[in-house]
Amino acid sequence: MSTGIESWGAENLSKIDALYPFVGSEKIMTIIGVVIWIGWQIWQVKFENNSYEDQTSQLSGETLTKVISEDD
Amino acid sequence: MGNNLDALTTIFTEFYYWITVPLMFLIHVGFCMYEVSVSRAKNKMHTLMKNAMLIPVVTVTMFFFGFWIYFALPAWPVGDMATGTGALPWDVTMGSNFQDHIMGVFWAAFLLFSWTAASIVSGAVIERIRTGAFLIFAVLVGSITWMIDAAWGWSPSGWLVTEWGYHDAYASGVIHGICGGAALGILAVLGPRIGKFAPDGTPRDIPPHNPWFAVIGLFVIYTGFWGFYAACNAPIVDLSGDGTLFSATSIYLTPTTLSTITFNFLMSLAGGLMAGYMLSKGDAYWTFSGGLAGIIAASAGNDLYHPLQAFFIGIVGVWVAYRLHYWVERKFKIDDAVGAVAVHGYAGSFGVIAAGFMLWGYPAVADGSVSITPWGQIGGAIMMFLVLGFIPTYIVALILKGMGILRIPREVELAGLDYFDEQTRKSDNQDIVNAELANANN
Repeated sequence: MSTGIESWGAENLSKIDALYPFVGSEKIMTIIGVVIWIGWQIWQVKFENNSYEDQTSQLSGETLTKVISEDD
Repeated sequence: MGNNLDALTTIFTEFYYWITVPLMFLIHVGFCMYEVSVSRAKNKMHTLMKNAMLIPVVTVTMFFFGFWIYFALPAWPVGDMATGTGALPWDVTMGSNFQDHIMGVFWAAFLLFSWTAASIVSGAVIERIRTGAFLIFAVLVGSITWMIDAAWGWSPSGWLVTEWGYHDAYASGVIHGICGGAALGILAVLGPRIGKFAPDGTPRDIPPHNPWFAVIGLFVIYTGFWGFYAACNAPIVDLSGDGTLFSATSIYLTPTTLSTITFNFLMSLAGGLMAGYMLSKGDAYWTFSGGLAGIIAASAGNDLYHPLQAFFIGIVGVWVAYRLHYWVERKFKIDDAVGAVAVHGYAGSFGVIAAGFMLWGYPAVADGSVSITPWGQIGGAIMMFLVLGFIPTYIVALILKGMGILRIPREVELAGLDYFDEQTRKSDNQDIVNAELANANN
């Protein structure tokens, strides 16, 4: 069982190309990576929207005036 | 590697570029220090997180497609699109590879430029943009539009270079011009911070919460710029082709020396500092920003200028940036919180155009097939600032505004972006104090 390279022997070094394990999985890793990136950006926007909705509801007229006047 | 000299050259080249990466890391550290310090105390942690989170999104998108753009689009749309195979994220060279030792180092050097690009935009829009919206702009500018302009104007085979003779050795336009334009495109839609302008339209100063730390941030950016300059060169090239004349070259593979860029970097910094100090009557913020703008103004031709030419251009570039900043602020009610459009956009674009007159007739590429001209540089400056800078971000900002996810809610802006986190911190702190008091009284 081997996920990649099996020998660092001098006779093998000149033939070594990729050093990482699971050579051949690059495209599927790219697809998974792109899904993670886009998913994270969508999650971040939703998380931020929810946070602001919550914060805005707590900052009504008098509360907001008090917060601003206490601002240093 | 055929012999020891080849081996030494290869290892030196790898290490040369590698060492530019941690140096350029300092640019981002400086931008964070500067941007956070310029913000008001009630917004500082949000400002920090907004800037810091551009690092992961720009990094992964540069891996997925940004670096490929640089290799695929130099000739397009004038010529054919290249395959850019070696920079595709699934190519074996875009990973640990024993037959290619340097691809990751090149990628990182470009990536740090990308962080800088996004970070320039970040400072201008502080205290009212949503982090989610900013991170979309970070990907747009850091991994797409700047990479297109680099392919077109910052490569010996880029069509702006081969067709127009565009010359921009240390990125006056390809980084600073485009990012200034991009920031202006967002600002035009985003609007000013609440209170920035009086009812009669007079701009007010919004004081930074830590002015001393802000200018130290600019000092750190100067330090990082040494890495930026070094990364713009190919360090050791046999220009004669017979092994007798080794020198550095610009990104266009035209001759320069490390001595030249060292002279000119420092002289343009000096000119910018003096001009900034004089124009602002000794204001620390504009003096330090002037130093940066002086370097940026001279950067397009700092591979070839005389040190005093770099000094003069640094002075004039800062004068242009300073005057334009206040004129645009008053005329169009643009609230550029850190002067990014001025320092990067106006000074950079001026520098590109100035190089067209100063270097008129110089070969733009090594074989001399096309020359540097004022009109080539003016066209390039417009391409950077307006076409690839302002227009894309302006359109995306309109879309995000229409979706209601561009600007933070008014109430949150007034209370401060850190208000609720600060309340939680105070509450947690009080709990600990109470627990300690209870323990002390037992």
